[in-house]
Amino acid sequence: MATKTVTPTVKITGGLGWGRLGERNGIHSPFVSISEDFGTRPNVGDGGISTTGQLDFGAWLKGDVALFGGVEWQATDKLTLLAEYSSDEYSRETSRGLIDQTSPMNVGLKYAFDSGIELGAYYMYGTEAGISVNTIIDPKNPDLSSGLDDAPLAIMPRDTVAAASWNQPGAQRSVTDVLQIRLADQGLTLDGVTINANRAAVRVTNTRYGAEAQALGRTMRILANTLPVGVETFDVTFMAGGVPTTTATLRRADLEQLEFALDGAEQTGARTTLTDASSVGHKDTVAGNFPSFTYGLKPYISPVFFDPDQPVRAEVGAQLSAVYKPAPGVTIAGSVRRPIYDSVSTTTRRSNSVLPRVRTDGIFYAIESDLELSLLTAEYMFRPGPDLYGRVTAGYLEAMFGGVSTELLWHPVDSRLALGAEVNYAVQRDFNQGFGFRDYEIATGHLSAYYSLENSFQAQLDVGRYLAGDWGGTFTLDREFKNGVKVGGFFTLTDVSFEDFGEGSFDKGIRIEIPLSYFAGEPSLDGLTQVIRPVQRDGGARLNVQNRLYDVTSDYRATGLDNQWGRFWR
Amino acid sequence: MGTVLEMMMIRTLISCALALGITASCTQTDSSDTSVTEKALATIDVQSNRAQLQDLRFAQQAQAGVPTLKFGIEDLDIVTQAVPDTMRDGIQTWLIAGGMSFSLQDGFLRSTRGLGDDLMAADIAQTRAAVLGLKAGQATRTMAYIGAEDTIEKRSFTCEITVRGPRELTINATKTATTLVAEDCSGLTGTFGNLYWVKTATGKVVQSRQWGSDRIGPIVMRIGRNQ
Repeated sequence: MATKTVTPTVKITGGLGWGRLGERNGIHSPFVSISEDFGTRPNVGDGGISTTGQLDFGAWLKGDVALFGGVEWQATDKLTLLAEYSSDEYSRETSRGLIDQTSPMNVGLKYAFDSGIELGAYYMYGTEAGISVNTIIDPKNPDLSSGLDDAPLAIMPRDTVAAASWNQPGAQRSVTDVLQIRLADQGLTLDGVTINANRAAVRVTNTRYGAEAQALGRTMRILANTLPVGVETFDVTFMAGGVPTTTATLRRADLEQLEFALDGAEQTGARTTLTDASSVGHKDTVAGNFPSFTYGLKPYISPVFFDPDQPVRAEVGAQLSAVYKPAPGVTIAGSVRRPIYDSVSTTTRRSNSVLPRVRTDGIFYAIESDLELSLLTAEYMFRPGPDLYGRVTAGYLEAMFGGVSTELLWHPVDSRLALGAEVNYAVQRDFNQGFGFRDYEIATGHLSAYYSLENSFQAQLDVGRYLAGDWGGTFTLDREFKNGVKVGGFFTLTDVSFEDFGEGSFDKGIRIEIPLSYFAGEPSLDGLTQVIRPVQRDGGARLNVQNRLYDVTSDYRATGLDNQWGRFWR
Repeated sequence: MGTVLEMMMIRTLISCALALGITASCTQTDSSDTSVTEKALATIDVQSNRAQLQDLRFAQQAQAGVPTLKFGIEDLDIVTQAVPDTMRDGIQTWLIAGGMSFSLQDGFLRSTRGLGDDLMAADIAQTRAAVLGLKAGQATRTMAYIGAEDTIEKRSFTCEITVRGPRELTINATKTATTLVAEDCSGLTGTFGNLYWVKTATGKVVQSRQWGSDRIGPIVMRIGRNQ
């Protein structure tokens, strides 16, 4: 295939196509002069659906060949007109009744708006017309690079802080009260505070900032504007999942000196000390934080992709969630879903899997449940020792499995490497997603290695036993852009043969995570996460337990904090 | 509800007064250097800033009779009064309603916050010395931004300082003798021009037009009441 720019506004594309692109007015392959082999195309469908996911080297450049081409005319800066002649006859789609093609000509137009949104309209196959709306996301360059979140507090002169009412003897409001109010105003929860003559330690939970360094900067500013002026050193410990993670230590004088410095962020980074907070514990806890109870009702969408009969199916409905936290690290969470629109359960395809049907029976969960108990768990997170995190979760862990999940993570503060071990006992849940179970149970678990590579790449290797009892490993490579956008891919190979696995031959997919702040410009920990698999089979399937330790805690280790350090003074 | 309406009306009045005030005051000066500033402040729509009425810090200061700074950003449709927040080590931080702020050192922009493409920090020492000393010549300035992927990007500019001569402004209904100093900067990432009106009697910057960032563009400001 080749594309030629004929004039600055006109591009012509032409090419030769084999296989399905050689169907219309196909001619005999010109390569038969090299070898007769090129004349006949082997039937790539011979292996059946189970050989999908493997490359058909044997068919390349073989069989009839046909011409295709197109022209693209950029009529104005914003309007582009397109026309193409397609050599694809869509014979398989036509035979299945998916497409009715009466013309090889397709035409369309695209209109680009200043906002970056592109509106398109097209007329294809002689039978179908449609419109499209596209927007291009460049994860490296959001429009509002520094965000629209409110300005931070400027650091006050010490004599102003000294004169503040709460720093006077017999003050009505305590320093702790003021800290709590000021932190809450910035989306930070004060968990605990210890103030000595020249050193103060606070524990905070970040509920707002995707950039952890920004949360740290805001906390430090508030400490400088609130604490008695004799306090020279600040220790800020970030809590995650109710447990202390990392303590950042900085001198008050350094904050004062660097607030307006040209290389303030860099210098502040150099003067900040990070230490593991495993021994911080839960002392001097602020009264009133526990127990806490929150609940919410919101819509959910649960899509299923690439069904051959209908490429996108989805269940859409309402989800009621509640979280009860009786003590730090202890969480009881539940959520109930009520589908309102459901195109998942209308599929007529049924599993042909020869493995235990740990995922491919998903259709029955969609069909048989009206009110779904999608989660009901009790979870305990703790710090068993230096650099170690622990988690125990029991209950209805996910839509299809319940049981007990235990995990241990080793992750030193300044280490790029983290190691984890997870052991689960899982029982398959009833299709109606109530409280009952089916008679399939399995011990499953993995040893995991996580490594932060240069350039924000993150590699993960999990080796262990999967839900269907198969043994193997999953390799995941993510790129996390510093503004929080995460794009990655994974594949899993287990001792299940390609044949037994079925369609796709092995499990693989891509994962996209986009924080809400990327679009809104306002800081938020919410976002969109979507895993897309070409097909979901039973081999290489992992339990979907909530709050795996690395996901919850790693942002507060050195690599996570460093990534967005430019936002410290934002 | 009554308070909200009242504050909106006050804001509209302030904005109108600001636009009118600047228009009138600029008639004394020549068209080449001030027309842009004039246009910027006169044509800005009266916009309601995000969350202005919830901005307690701003409201408290605004009602306390403190000195104000008239402030406009044409590219962002912002025209408002800024009120002083914190003064430390010679740097005054000003609040703008809607959760925004900026900091000035002797009238020279050191940083902005909450404007979307903020000036995180700026080294303006050479510019400041030349402008306040009414000395023509060259100055280097460096400005820091949050760039791609949340890292700090520094941009350096070489600036030509020229003294354009005496200009009379009308500030708070008082005729004020000033000297207009221009700063024309160029660097690898672009060019921009700043203007400073230095009051003859005090040697202080009383009005200016200073470039913030690619998205913010030029910021115009002049001292308001109680100064």
